[in-house]
Amino acid sequence: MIRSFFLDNSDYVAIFHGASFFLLGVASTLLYLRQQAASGAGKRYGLLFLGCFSFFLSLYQVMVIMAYGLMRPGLWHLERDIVLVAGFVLLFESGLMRLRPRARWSLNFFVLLPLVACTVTIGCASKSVAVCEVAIRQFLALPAALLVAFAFWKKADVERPVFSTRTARFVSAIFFLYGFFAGVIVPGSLWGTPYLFTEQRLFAFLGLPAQVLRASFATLLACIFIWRITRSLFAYRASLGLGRRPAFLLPLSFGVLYVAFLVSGWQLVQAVAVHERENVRRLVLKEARLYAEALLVSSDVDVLGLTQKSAYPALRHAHQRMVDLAQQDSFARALYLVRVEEERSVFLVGSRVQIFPSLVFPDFGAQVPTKQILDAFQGRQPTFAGPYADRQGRPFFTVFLPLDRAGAATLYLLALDLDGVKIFREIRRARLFPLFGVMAFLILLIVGYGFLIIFAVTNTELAVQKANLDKAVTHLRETEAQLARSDETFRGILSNSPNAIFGFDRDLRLIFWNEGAHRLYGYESHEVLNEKNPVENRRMVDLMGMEAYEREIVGVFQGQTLVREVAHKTKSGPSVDVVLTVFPVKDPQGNILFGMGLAQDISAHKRLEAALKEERDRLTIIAAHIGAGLSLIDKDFKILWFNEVMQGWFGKLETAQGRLCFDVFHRRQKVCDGCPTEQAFRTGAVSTGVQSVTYPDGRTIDFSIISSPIKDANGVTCQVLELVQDVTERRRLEEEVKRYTESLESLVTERTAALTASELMFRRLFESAQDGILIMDAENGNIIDVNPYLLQLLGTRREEIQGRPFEATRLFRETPALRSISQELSGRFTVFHDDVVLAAASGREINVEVRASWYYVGKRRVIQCHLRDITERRKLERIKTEFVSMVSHELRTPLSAIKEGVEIVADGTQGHLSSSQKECLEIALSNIRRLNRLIGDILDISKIQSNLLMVRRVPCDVTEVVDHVTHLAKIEIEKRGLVLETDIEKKLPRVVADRDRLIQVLVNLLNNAVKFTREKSRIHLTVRRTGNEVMFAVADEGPGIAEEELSRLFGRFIQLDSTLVRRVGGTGLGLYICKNLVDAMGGRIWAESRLGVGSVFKFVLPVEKDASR
Amino acid sequence: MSEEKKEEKTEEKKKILIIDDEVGLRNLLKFRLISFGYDVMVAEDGYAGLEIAKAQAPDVIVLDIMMPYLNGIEVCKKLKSDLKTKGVPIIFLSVLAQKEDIDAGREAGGEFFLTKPYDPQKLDLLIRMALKGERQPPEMLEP
Repeated sequence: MIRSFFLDNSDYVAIFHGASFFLLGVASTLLYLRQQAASGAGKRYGLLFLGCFSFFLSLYQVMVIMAYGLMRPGLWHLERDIVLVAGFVLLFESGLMRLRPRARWSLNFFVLLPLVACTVTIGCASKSVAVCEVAIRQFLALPAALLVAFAFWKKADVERPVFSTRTARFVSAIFFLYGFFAGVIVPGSLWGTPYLFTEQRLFAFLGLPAQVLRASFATLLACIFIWRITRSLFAYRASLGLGRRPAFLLPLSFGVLYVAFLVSGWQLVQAVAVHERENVRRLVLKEARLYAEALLVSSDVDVLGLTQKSAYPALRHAHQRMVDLAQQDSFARALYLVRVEEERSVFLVGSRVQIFPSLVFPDFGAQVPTKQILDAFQGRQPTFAGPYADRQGRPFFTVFLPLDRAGAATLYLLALDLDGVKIFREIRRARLFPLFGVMAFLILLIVGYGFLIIFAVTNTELAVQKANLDKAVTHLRETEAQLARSDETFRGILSNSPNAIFGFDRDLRLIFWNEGAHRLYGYESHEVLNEKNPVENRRMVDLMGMEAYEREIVGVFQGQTLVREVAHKTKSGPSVDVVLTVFPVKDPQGNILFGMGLAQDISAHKRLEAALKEERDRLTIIAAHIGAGLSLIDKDFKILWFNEVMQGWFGKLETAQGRLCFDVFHRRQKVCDGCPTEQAFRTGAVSTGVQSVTYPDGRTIDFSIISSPIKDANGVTCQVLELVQDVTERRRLEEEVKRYTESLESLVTERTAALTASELMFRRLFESAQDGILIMDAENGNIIDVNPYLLQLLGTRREEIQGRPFEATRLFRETPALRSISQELSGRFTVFHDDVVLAAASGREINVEVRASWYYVGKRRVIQCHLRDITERRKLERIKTEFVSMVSHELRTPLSAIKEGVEIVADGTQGHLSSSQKECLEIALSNIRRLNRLIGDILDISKIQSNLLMVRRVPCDVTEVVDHVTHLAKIEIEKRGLVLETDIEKKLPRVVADRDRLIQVLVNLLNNAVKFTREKSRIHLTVRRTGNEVMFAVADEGPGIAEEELSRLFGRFIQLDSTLVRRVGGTGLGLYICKNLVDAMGGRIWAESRLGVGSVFKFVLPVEKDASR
Repeated sequence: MSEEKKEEKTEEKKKILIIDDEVGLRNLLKFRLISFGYDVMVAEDGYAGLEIAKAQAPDVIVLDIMMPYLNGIEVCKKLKSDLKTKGVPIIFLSVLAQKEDIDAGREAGGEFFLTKPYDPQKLDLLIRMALKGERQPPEMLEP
């Protein structure tokens, strides 16, 4: 019965569907309203959407019933489905409002849009709206339902959910199923629209139409929602202490409504259907009668008289007439006559004729409505049959109208095939008014009910809220008192806080300024706030110099909190670094009252930071430049850090940090043997060690490691600092050095032996020398060593002299020459004194010659003096000198008498002399002079040899001396037949010389010239001034002197030609003495000569210093 | 030793005393000086010379150094220390020609020094200078 109830009349299904959705709509809306009331400002439009959607759907279902046939079949299905999908999407949207917009829109875009697109394309491609509709339903409704299901599933996790988790999941499952049936299973195909699934199979499987299921699901959802509302109301009332009664009213009212809807709907449908049927019947009958009349009247054939055996033309005529009638635009599509013969229907002539005459087949197919025909025939009442579907699938009805002659038996039935579509359209048109009426009623019902509910809900809500309010007021009074207390505390806190705290309003004007702010910024409260006129309060951005941040600060009033490090201006000028925190102060409802700022002075902190950073940078630079590897290892042997040098050996810090040190450095699995770090951890003392590391490419580097433990506050070693140095090179060098050292050592031993031997030798030399050797320190004058000879010479013992300063020794102190040695040696390498007199300890005087020199012994400068006892030599010299002196004096004594005796006679003072007498005496005299000179020469030689030659150096008048000499010499020269030529410069300056010695030299040279010149030649004497000297030159025209002989000339006993000795005479001493004399006078003497031409002997003497010419 | 008596000549002839132990030269010198026009007294040693100098008051004394008993330097010193003979210029005439001899002579107080053998002209000049009271210039200290 149920099957027939639902299957045969889809209107019932539609009613059920509509009622269910109506209920769901109401329930959702109520739930939404409840939520709004409960949670205040909420944006959970999901339920509202669901409600609206449900209402629409229920209206729609009603519309389906009422407006059937008015719209094109597929189109309103399409619209419904679009709404379905949209509804689902909205539900989904609302459920997913928790998601970020981007996620939501992505889902919409990537999931739904393609589906829509393909759906539309499919629909358009097949040029069938129906197909499009199906495609939407199947392709979109299901996903849409899935999305909603998903949304509800996700919503299960939301805090303060509408449903408990389980319920929400259940709801989501129902949505899923609903969508499944909406999309996959399609209800009855009455109108031949193609579906992808035909319902027969599924109906066979399920046994119930899908719409019924869908409606059931909707009812179920509605029930769940209603239960939720009831529960919340229940709980709410319980909390307020109100009765249970109001809580029950709601579900009760819903149930009543639902049933009423169903029942009334059904009744309505029934009534409408009956009414419709009646209307249609009447309409159709009217039409049929019209047709019948038309047929009977107009024909020139007796239609009623026709039989199967009638003549063809008559039949044809009748047929034509029917055809004409059928073509009129009316309900009837086809007409034909039906006769009943012997309980059998015979179709006579009709508008549709295939094969004339008896093969008129209506489109009943197998379903000939025999009953209706018989009823019509016998009952003489029109009957209806249908609906049938023709071969094209279009629906039609058939009405059987009995035709008779006035009161006679029915002869024929006029069967009219009525266009079902048109009929239905008529029906639907007929339904319009009631439809609108019903809809209006329903809307009013819904709206009214809605308002009622709202009113009821809000009324109770209001009552509840009023009670709440009273409670709140008392609560408020209490809190006010509390607030007053806390306000004071708060003020106290603010005032006493060391930090700067200030409040500001939306115009950024300061409304509060605490003591801390005064201290930090320098402004007092009254400078910043104007109590009389708050508009005059200073703006905090201007005061602190934060104009750049104004916009961000304004954002505080949108609820943002700002934390910045800035530099603020102060009253007195210097800016101060602060951390500024600006945040909104809200009331309990979350409204922002004013902004609050907190400024902490971090100048010191910043300085510290900068110092720390500098320190850290310095440490980093030190660590980088230290030139050795540094690494920090923790007690698990994990690498905490190492510096750049280590990175050069072992790779980047990032890859090694946190790994085990023996793994990274040595690629071992456990701690290395003898690891100094391990020792450091164990013993807590600094440990050293050397480790070799072999790299995969074969290189080996030796590292010296110094591990220093770093201890924590309790003295426990928590970390170790390793100092690592590459000692490969050093070790290699060490090896080499060891080798060299070994070879050197043997070398040194050899050398030392040699040195010792040599030292011994020299020591013996020192000890056994026959000269005194004294070694003293050049810096402090201490006597370092004295050799035995000297000790013996001086007659002292070693202890008295050695180690003591030079000055302290009496023996040396009293010898001025020795005292000055150090000074003299500062400028020269050696110093020689040959006339030092030492006093020996015994008092004996010793003549020594001292030769001193200095050299370095290591870093010490020492002076070595050689003292040679020359007492004997001096004695000898003295003796010799005395002897020579005595001899010459002894020789001179008689000589002077001889000279005087001869002279006195030669002078004529003892009587006149004849010229010959005079001549003889002159000869004697000249020889006497010669003898005198010789004695003088001998004496000079002796003095020269003893370094006792002394010359005076006084200014001498050159001209006078030369005149004197020439005067003397001329006589002798002319006697020999030679010529003396003189060339003496006028105004010669005075020379520094010894007059007598000068004469001696000149005489000597002249005598030599006389001796060596040719006979009858000339002797030149030239005296000239040359710069600072006066040059004397004596030239002869003798044989000359060979060049190599020139330098030997001035040596002792030199005479060039032994053959000349006899002729010339002379001892050869002359030039030697001349040289010594000239040198002693500060001049120079030399000779120039050309063999065969002659010789020139020249000497120069210095001019008197202040003779300025 | 024969004593020689000084011959005093009260005419303007200056008196020169010669003290020299060598008889030959002493006499020759005497001749020389007489030829120059002086009165000459001779003494053969220091002591005699001193006596004669004190008694006879010569104008110039020509004094040899190398003499027995009392050498010339001593004689000079004695002469210079005695009031009577202090102002008499002394000409040393000696073979000794070393600087130290000359210096010794000077130190002793001798005004002039001449070495033997001497140039007579030089001697004459020195005597004249001595008589004038001049001093010997240094360059003329040796023949």
